[in-house]
Amino acid sequence: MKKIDKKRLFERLNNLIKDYVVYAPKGKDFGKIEDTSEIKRESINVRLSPKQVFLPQEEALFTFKQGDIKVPENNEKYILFGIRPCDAKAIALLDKNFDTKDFPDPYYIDRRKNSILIAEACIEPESTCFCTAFGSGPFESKDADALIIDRGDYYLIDGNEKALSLFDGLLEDDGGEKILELKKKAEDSIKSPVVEGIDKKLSSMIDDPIWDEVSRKCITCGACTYLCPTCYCFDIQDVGKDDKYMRERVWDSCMFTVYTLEASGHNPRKEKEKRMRQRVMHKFNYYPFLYDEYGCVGCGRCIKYCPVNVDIRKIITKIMEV
Amino acid sequence: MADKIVENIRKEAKRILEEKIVDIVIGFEKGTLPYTASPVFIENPDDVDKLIWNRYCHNNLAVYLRNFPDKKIGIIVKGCDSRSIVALMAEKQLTRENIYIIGVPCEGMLDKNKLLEEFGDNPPIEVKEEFLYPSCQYCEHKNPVIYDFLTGEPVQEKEEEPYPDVVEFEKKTLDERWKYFQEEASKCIRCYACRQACPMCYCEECFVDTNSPKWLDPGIDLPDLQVWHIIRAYHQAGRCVDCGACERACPMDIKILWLTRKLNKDVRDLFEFEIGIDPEKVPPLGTFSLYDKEEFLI
Repeated sequence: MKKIDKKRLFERLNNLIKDYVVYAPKGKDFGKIEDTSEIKRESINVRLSPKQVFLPQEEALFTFKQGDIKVPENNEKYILFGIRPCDAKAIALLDKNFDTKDFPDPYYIDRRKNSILIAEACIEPESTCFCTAFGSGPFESKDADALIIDRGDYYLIDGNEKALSLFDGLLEDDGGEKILELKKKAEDSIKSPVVEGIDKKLSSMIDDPIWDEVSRKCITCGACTYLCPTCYCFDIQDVGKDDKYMRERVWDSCMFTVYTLEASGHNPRKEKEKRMRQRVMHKFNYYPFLYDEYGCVGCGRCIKYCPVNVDIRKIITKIMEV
Repeated sequence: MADKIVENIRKEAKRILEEKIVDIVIGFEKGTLPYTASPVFIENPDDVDKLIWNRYCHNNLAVYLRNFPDKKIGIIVKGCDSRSIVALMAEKQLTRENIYIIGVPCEGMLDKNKLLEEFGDNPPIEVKEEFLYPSCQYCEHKNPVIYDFLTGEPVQEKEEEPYPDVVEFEKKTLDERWKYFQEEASKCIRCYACRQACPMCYCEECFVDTNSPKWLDPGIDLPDLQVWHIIRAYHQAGRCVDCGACERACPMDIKILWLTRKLNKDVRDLFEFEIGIDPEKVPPLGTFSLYDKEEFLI
């Protein structure tokens, strides 16, 4: 571990804005900054997750006009400063889905390969946090390029060469400072549901009456999925705007009625319990099946922002009790 | 008082379930977060102790009524929710005989976010008017307008101008109003929580979801966001009961209540109509009259 003075870190970050697109917490949300004075946290974690950097809500895959097709290029370099360990893990999960051997997604990969993730440890997690359920934690460093820990006037920092080289000349010896207690206190404050074995259990629960029960209060809006750092479903549509025509990729949500509506008019997931099942199955059964990891990182956004208090922790517990 | 209300709600819910007057009761249970209650659906009379009543029961439960077409439903309502039921009856979406209404006079629901900001996780003992949701601050129908069973003392209704916020808003210049609207609309992520939380947004297919014709492009371009919010509001003109469920549901804290309130005030001024009072009276948007005012045509 090294130590870095906060003021000097922000000065350096300001200089880096010339070469990098820098994203950081800006009040409630996460966004692009022009100056580090814009960095401000209004809650432990930001509302709109960092997935927007690599998978924007709306993006042109190509533009076309009278046979002239152009694919947008993206050579930007990104720094994501102050994301939380859960969101760093979420990006690692998105990598598994978009950066695959068989179907690499060039749009996602172009942005992702030129990015540096600097995560900040959560010294005081929120009551909605449950990252420890998935083998991660408030001080987890493995999914980010660097982890910083706020110590007042300075940060403790650890990371790979790519991230630490950004701060060349500013890193000091940490003087043997111990963070074990701080880490333990943060971890102990998190109450996570038990999830061990939920993936296998769900395999035989496709027709279980539980889906009707857990989806009753759901009003099928897309708040949970749009704020979720790992939900990546998208729709592709052709759009004409101001004499510009393009094929666009836009976020979609399994909670919407039209999500799987087919051209014939048939909808295999017309009922909301089937769509709730899809959301839960995708995170806790399909993702582990495909990638050996749960598709949820326990950030708690879906709990915090649900208009009717659908609590995924309660759903997990109910499944485990079946 | 509140304990007595909870006791009465549970007793009545148990009775109507046991006597098979209804198949299901829609009410509130304790939420999993501070200052939160959550909708609950009770079918077994032994489960009625889950039901609670407090100042956090802000959801408009009428939104669930159309989810159980084959069932007789018991529902616990505040003033605004009861008006939604009347509005849905006026539009022939509900049959009165299939619903058993347990009414609770409401002193206004408390804004979770304001409380969290001010008091953290320690709930205050005394609560001031400023901690009410905006819709509750303006509310002029705190007492249920329709019910089969009422518990709790009737609350004093307000008698002053019901639209002070709209009156203030109307004083702004056109540019100021447009700028405010643009700023609010620009925060939208099109999750449609506003639409889904609203009992009156019951279209089988919303105009944003149709693709032939396609009325609106997907994505978050500002013009598309503006069109969404304008059309949503217009479809609510004189049909909206001002419950504020849309604004409370919005994860992005967009101020949208003023838009439907402005339209409601216009409908009141132009057509002398108020929704959710008389189930026999059809809202102006749903009818046609040769005597409709048409000053704007010439």
